Amino acid sequence: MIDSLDLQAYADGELSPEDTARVAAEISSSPAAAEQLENLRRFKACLQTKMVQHDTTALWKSCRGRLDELDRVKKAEYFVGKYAWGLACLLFFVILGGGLFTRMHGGTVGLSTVAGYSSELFPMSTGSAANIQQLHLDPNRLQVLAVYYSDQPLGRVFRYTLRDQDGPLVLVTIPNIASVEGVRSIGDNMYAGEINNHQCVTWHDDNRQMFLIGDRDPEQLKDVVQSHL
Amino acid sequence: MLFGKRNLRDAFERQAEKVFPSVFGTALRLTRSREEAEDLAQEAIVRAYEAFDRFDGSNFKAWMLRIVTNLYINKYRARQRGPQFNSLDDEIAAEPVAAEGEIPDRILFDNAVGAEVEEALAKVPIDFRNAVILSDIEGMSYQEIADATGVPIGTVRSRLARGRSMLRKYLQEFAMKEGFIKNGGEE
Repeated sequence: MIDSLDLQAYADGELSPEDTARVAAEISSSPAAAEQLENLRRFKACLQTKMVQHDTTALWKSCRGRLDELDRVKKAEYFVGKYAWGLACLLFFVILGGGLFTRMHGGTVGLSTVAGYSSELFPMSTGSAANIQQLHLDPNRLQVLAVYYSDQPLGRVFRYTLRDQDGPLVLVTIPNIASVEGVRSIGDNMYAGEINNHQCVTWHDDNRQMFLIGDRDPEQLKDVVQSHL
Repeated sequence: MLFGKRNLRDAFERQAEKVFPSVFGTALRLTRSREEAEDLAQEAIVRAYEAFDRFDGSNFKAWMLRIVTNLYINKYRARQRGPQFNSLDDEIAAEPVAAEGEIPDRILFDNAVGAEVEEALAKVPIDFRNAVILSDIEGMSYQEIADATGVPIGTVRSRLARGRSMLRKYLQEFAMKEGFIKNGGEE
């Protein structure tokens, strides 16, 4: 009796030449096997010819849309991948250039830096009368006791030791400053903060950032600036 | 590079468009849901395009159907409703027994229409249904089916035999139920 799996494999063309010959011989000698083979072929023909055919035009169009999207993504990835090093270098030079530009045309200073400059321990050279004249202050109200300077990366920093009727004050001027950290606005383009437990007001004047430091509240310091400087 | 990419896309589309009806038909017969079949077919096309540069150029249709089958097995099988016959003994192939009152195959298959065959096929459990779809509808070889489904050729043979037997049984039941073929003979 013929093996049913062999018969199916014979109908499917999946047997080796030797097995094909063997099964063919068995079929030719068995009417029942021949009928089974014929039924199997009818079955296969039924499935091959009678299955529902679906219209896939719209779906294929949708697939092409997805492939277009995939191509766009791949194109962008290719561009970034190919030029990644160039883009990274460009970004580096932009950051470097920005840093240099800021350094040359105005940087940011924090009050801790100003505290250093205002300290008598900070090494500075003695200034001249000409440096005092740069201040344009009212000598009747504000006395300059000493002036010192130090050449820093941003330019020449000055420290003035002052005195008015209410006591001592320190004035620090720093050139090429674009912004000051750690201060709050007190109006009239002036800002206040704290340096070494003393109050400080700061304002911008003729490409210099001015810092007036004293043992009094910010409003009093602001009055000094507006009336004496 | 861009010109080469365009050529690859064109080559892929030319081949994929030809076999797409088979891709969708197989997806529909596997999922038994038009919506899921559309998702499955689209996903298969995208995956195939992404892997096209690794295609060995042998049989594109078999390669595509392998992708569809694998996708289905990975993504949709867990969500399919209906009985799963995973524990059945695949080594035993059931022979249709010619019982009294059974409709002769000649009459059964000659009179069956596509919609009835599709409906009967949908009832066959997935492992056996898959084998029948890939072999009898899509014309894949046993080896190609084994590669697509990840089972040995022996298992493919027995699943195919079992699937055909079940399909025939469901067609028979349908034909007798509808009454368009009288029990045991022609109308």
